[in-house]
Amino acid sequence: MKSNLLSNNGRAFDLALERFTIGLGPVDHAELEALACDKDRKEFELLLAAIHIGSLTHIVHPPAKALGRLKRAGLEYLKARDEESDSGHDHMV
Amino acid sequence: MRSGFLATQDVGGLTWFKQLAFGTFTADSDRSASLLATLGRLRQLSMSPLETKSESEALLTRIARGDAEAVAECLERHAGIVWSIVSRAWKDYSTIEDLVQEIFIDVWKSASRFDPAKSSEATFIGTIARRRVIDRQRQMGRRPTLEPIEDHDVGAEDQGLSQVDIGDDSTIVHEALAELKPEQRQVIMMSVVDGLTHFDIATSTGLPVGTVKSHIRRGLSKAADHLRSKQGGSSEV
Repeated sequence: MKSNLLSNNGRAFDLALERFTIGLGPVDHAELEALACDKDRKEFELLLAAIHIGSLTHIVHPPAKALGRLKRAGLEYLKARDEESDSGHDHMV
Repeated sequence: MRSGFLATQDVGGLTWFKQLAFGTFTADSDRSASLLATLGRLRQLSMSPLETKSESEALLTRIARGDAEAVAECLERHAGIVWSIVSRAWKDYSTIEDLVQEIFIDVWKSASRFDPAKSSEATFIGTIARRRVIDRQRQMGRRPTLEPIEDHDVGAEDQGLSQVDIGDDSTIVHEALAELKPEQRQVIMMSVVDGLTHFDIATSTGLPVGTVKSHIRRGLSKAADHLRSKQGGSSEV
């Protein structure tokens, strides 16, 4: 189902769009949460992201060294998560 | 098999997209005709959206299970998208790399929440990237802005910068935007891609704010219909 925010012509639509384009402060964010349900907000955000990503017709890949560091950081994260998980399991046992 | 077509051939980049967005894209010129032919070849070579989703789903599902190889594959495939988004907002190299790393840690943490029925993997990751960029800009007291895509120069320290393939997502979005009225495309680009407010767009285009908002909402609604219809009838974009 298409986000109901697309058929909303009021404040909820404005806030949801602003959240994606320039971000919202805490007060406006709370107002958006009160005006639109989580499902509608997420669907709307995914639509905007799809358009944003799809419009990036020329993408520059990160330098090789940076990519290497990103991979190492990713592997370290997975390792730490596994260790934490194992540790939690030991506790339970 | 992924075509990799965009990795080896420039399909016109932002120039083409601006022609599309501002309604000056026609099949009259040689360049436009060539681009239309290129898009036709792209469609023939690309996987179907469903095939793309299946591949994407496997990657993030594997990451959620702790598959280290999937981390490397995900970065190879999507780091360019994130790097491009971040470097349109920041010019300082160390900030860009730092922020890209934060974004991918967030992606690893969120991998188990990825639902291929709701979005492509690129969109899922792009959503996280966009949020992080906006948050960082607000933390730094900056008004969130995005540089035009063609101003992209960060990362040029490496020779042989490569374009990466966002293939199907890009093609489907282009198709969706091509179906819109030129004025709808224009304001959606200025809002969603460049991050301008309704007021900024009204000032720039001379249109009343209410008209800007109406164009954006109606255009997005039509684009959502197109994206949904092209992505295997799934319920989301």
